[in-house]
Amino acid sequence: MFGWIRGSKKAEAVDRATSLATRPVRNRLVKWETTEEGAVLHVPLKKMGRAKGFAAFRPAPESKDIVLDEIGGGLWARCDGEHTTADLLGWMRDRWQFSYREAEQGLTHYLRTLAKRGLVAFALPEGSGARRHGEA
Amino acid sequence: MTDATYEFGWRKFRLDVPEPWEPAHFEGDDAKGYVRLDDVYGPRLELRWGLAYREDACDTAFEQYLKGLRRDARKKKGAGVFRREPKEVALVSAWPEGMKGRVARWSAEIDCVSAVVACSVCNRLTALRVLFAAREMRTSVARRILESFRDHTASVDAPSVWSLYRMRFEVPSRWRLAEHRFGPGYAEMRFRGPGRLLADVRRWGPAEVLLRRQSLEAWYLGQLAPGVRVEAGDLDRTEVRGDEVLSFERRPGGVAAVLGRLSRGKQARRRLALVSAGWHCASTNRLWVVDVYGASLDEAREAEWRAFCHADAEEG
Repeated sequence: MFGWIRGSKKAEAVDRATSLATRPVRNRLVKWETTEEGAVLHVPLKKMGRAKGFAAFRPAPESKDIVLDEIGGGLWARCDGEHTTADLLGWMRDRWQFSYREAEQGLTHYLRTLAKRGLVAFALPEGSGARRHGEA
Repeated sequence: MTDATYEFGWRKFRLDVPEPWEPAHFEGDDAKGYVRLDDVYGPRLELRWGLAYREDACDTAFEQYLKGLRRDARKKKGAGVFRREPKEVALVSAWPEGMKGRVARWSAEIDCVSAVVACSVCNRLTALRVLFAAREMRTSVARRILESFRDHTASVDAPSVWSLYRMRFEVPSRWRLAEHRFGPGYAEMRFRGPGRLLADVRRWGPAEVLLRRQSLEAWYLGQLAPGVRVEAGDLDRTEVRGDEVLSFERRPGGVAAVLGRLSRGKQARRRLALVSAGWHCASTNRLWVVDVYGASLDEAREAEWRAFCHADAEEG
């Protein structure tokens, strides 16, 4: 409410060159496996309080599954902290024949969705000077 | 920057641009508009056009442009806003017949080659800006772009080339782009021709993923416009350059045909004659559907095969 007293800081903008050099890193708590159609992520769920009524008879699931297609699965496998965003773009262009613009739009949307769900984080290149934040 | 180029075609403009430069922003129509091409690092080429009927339009617009640049620099108050003052250069040795252009080069926080080109045939005045990062000016790239720049089609009957995002096709010059939508793995362009003619060109990709669980036939039937009912047995199958092409024709009869001539919008499309074709282009790993609507089947049939050539669509 009184953020203006502290002078709250916004996350610094990351320029395009820096965002291409960032390395997406998978959340280690998420177990995953490759399938013929892509990949399946097993995302652990928060444990809730004691269940009431009929829910007490049905155990709460420990994780939920997210099914990724071949392109999503391939990108997920490459979010290992080794590949940069530029590498992922290159893979989309070479493997799936996307144009530059298509690959960039698709990858940005995909990584943003994963980041919002807490499934990936981004390692900024050393010396970039920008603060870490959740989006590419 | 790679030296490979491709032909970018949009609203009757044609020019060769480096391969990584792709359209990122569109505005307007044939008479007045804007398009910007980016590479992964940012904007690279801007085209802004409008109609101008005065003979001295090119000179006036060029002088105004330089004046505006200098005025903006003064407003910024920095003595060294320009590292290199705007100066006219003879970068293009000869403009094509019917076209007149003037080119300037300047450097500030970016390096830029700007040109104003007037076409006396279609009366379009176009401002082009080729942008480079500071101290990375490549005059040869700018020259190649400007020298390849062409406005309008050669004649009324000559088709106009649409070429972007690795797709390329030709449309009769009287057809106009009405709507377009581009996204990752999806492109859609709707053209309106003379009379009731209407064409939808749609492209999906990668085909390898989309056809993993279903056949081309099942996929194609799933993409037909609402209200169009076709059985798999009604589809014609042909082969063009090794790719299987599925197609069908619909001729509305009776009351529907009369209503089709009178109604507009989505309802009209349901009642018009339709010639549709869908195919898997193996070389580009994409799936295409072209639907052409017309008042009569003959009109729609003739328009499609003149307008959209499969071989052309495969190129690039």
